[in-house]
Amino acid sequence: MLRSFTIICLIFLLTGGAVAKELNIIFDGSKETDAWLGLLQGIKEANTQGKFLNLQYIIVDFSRLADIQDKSSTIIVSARSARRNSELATKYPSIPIFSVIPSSSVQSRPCAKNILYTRPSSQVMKKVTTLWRAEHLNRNGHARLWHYTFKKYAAAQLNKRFKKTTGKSMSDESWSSWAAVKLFSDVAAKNANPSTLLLNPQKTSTLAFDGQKGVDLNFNSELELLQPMLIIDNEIIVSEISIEKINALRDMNSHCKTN
Amino acid sequence: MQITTTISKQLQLLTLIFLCHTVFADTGRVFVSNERGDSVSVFDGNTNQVISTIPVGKRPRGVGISPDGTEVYVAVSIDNLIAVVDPVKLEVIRTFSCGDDPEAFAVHPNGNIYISNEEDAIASVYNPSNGELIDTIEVGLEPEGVAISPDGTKVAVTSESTNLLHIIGIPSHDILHNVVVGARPRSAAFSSDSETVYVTSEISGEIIKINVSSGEIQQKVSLGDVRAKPKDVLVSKDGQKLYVAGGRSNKIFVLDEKELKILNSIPVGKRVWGLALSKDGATLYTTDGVDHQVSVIDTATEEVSATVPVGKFPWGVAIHD
Repeated sequence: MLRSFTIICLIFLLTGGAVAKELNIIFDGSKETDAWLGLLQGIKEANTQGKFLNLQYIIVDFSRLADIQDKSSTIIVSARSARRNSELATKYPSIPIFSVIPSSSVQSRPCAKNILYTRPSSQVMKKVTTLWRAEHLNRNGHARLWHYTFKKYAAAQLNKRFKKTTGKSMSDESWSSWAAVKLFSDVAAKNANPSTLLLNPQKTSTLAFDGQKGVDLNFNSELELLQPMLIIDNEIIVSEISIEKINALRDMNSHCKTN
Repeated sequence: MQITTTISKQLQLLTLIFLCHTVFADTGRVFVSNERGDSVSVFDGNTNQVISTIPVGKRPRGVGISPDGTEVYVAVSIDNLIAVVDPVKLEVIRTFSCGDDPEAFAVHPNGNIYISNEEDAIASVYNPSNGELIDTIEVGLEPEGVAISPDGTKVAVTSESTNLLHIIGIPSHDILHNVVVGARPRSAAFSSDSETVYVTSEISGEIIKINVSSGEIQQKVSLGDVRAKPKDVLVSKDGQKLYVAGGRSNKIFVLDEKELKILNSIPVGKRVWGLALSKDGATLYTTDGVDHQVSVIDTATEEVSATVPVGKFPWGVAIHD
């Protein structure tokens, strides 16, 4: 017993006594989805950063959610329905929940201050598509958040890393899930209580989240991540749509203001 | 007889000195890597006339010069090699492999090259005379900017995707500090006394001043222009100013070194990334990628005195002076 204790102490001293702080990531969804793959990529990259900062990102099984003591270092990445998210948000108000499945519209989302949306609603995506097609007659381009051929702003590097890890091409869903973890790790690198800060994302001036889309990404009052989009026509990127242009299309008459 | 031998030896020595001077003299040439031109443009720094365009391989980016001035190094990213160019003959004299996707690098006063290998998340150290890999240093994702302190005791490497500046000791190659900086740090530069390092963060649009000994951020400033995505940073010869390439703001920002206040902005060409300062500090060269040109700035007046058309999407620039 004493010997084991001595060995443990010795290891502790040899490693400089530094125990990595654990940050919890809980996935709520099917592991057969792109959302799961995006999450795995995000955690892999977060831990690459974490090893320099004494931080360790771990996946906690959903069944253990109630047991987590340190809610200030925990996020949930959800690939479930709006109703499910609403239930979770009520039960765990101090944990940020990242929804990576698009809602049909902003109005269809539950009123909750701890659900963050890394994907715009399907309605906005359709509006962007319609706008672009109106300007490009006889073309069939459609709006997407990400594309596996995207190269600018170091997107090529992310696509390559994702393909190497998962064997698949990065999709809108996997990017959204990756982005949730990236945002969490970016905040955790600078702050001791990252989850607390993520509950007020618009007030976090230090966010400047880099989603490898060339601009800093932040959330609007609907807790939706503002981001540029791509127009894809026949699997080719034909245009990039700026955040400003997309904002002009948003339905600003939401029933559920969060601030 | 003895006198004749002595004179002969002196003549030989003089000849050698003359030859060395001829071969190794600074040419005043400016070397520019053309990222999409797969070439290096060379122009005369006095006349601003392009002398040669040297094919070097696919996607050349970082450019640097050996301490003795006998060689110019070019990181050829897609070909995963360093091309070594003779600055007098203006031809590639050899190449050596240097890991995946070499991007930026810095040349140590001892001649070794410290390279960021973007895809491998490492910085690697090479002896360019024989291409020998001396060491690899694990760093964060997408390492890019590399700077060596003037005293040769530290190397700073930025990791773009992990938002870190790594301060690494030389020759131990141990990481001394990991500093969390703004989103997507791209470039670093040391002060002449090696006590301060400056970093640009592209996405957050910031310039950060860091104490090298403590690894603490002393100051940071936002460029306050949404289009300003800063890339290269350099310290003026007198150490009083910083020059920052403002990316798509198409400006060079001039900052006061102490307070990081913006003193001036100099309009240049589109998407300015690369910077090089002449040894006397009088001339600043910028690579204006989208305009396929180099702007030549008189640092006394802080105005563009000339533009030089080069190859497609110029990236890096180095002066043989």
